[in-house]
Amino acid sequence: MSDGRDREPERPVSTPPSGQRVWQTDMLTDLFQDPLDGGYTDAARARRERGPLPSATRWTRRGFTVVVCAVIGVLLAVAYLQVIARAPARATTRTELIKDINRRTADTDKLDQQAETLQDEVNGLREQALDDTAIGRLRELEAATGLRKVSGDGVVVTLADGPNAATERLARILDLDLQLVTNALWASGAEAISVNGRRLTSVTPIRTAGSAILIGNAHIIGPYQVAAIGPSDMADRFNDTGTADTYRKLRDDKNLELGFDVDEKNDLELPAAVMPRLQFAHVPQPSPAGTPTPSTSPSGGGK
Amino acid sequence: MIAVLALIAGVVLGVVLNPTVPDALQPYLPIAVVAALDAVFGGVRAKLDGIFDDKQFVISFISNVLVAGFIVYLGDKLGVGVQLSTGVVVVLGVRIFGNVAAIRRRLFKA
Repeated sequence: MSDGRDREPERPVSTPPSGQRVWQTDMLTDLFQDPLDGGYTDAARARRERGPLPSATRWTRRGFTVVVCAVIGVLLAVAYLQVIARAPARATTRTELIKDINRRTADTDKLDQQAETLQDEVNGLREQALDDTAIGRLRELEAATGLRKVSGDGVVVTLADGPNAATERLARILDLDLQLVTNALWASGAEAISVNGRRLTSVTPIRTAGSAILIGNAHIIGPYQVAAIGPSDMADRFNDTGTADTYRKLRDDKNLELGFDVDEKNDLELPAAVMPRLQFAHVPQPSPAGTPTPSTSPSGGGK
Repeated sequence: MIAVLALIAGVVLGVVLNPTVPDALQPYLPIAVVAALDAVFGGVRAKLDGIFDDKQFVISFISNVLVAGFIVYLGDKLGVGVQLSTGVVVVLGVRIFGNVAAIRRRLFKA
């Protein structure tokens, strides 16, 4: 310490010679203008007035300073090590979660495939049990309700978020947009519709969960392709609807620039929908004793 | 000079011993570090100004760490822990910045 060159920096805080510090009211100004603890200047003045302390006291205090410095060193090292130690744990959790998601997705795909195979099997067995007219009628009904894979000519309507969808809420495609377009397609004579490869049935909801759009239980991301199979004049009829008109306007709007395209496509193939859970139909109860039951009862009950 | 050596010795000690911090104290560690840095830069500046004082340095370190820790603790109990921590970091950050600027002016005359 150099007692000889004590220099007091200019302080805006008035410090009367009595040693009584007067606190300025504006603490923030003080903080910004002179961040040094006022104690240092006070101590320097006291030293100047009283002369240096006895050397024993000085050395004791110097010792404390050294200890504090060592403590600060330990503190820095420990804090650094803590941060280092926690980083891998976070990364591990992240990779674990990603792995988990991928595994579950693969599981879901496998189960989907299994369900499809089983559905095919069920269909085959059912067709063996039924006569030709019943099969024809069943196929028609299944195609109409979305439970059978269908192919044919139709249109593909593509909807996409505008380029500034991140900031402009209106430039984003919502579940409502898909609902309007599919409704317009149904009204234009569509016989089967799928959105991004997810077939719609009469009870498939199109809705929003969080920021994702769900078709049934499957979430889909843009661009959204609404494929519809229907009569040859469907594209023209769809283009004449108010809905198509609205989206053309939104597409040409300089602020929104929504993606909107109507393409006529041949040989579209729409997959079967996931079998919806039956809500009203149920397996018939076994009839009261003695009454013969039809052998076609699906559960085989009462046999 | 001794202080710098002691600081380095402390870092080495911390790395070698690698003490485990109890979970209850972990949220206070970053704040304690910031408070300690404030005391250190204040001390360095006072040294360069030629008005360093051991007692002032020791007391400012201990009180800084304790007050900062106490504010964070209080904030946790009141449910505004994050905001109060931010407040502590801002105030100490401003002081550190100001002191470092003063040190820079003294060392480089700019």
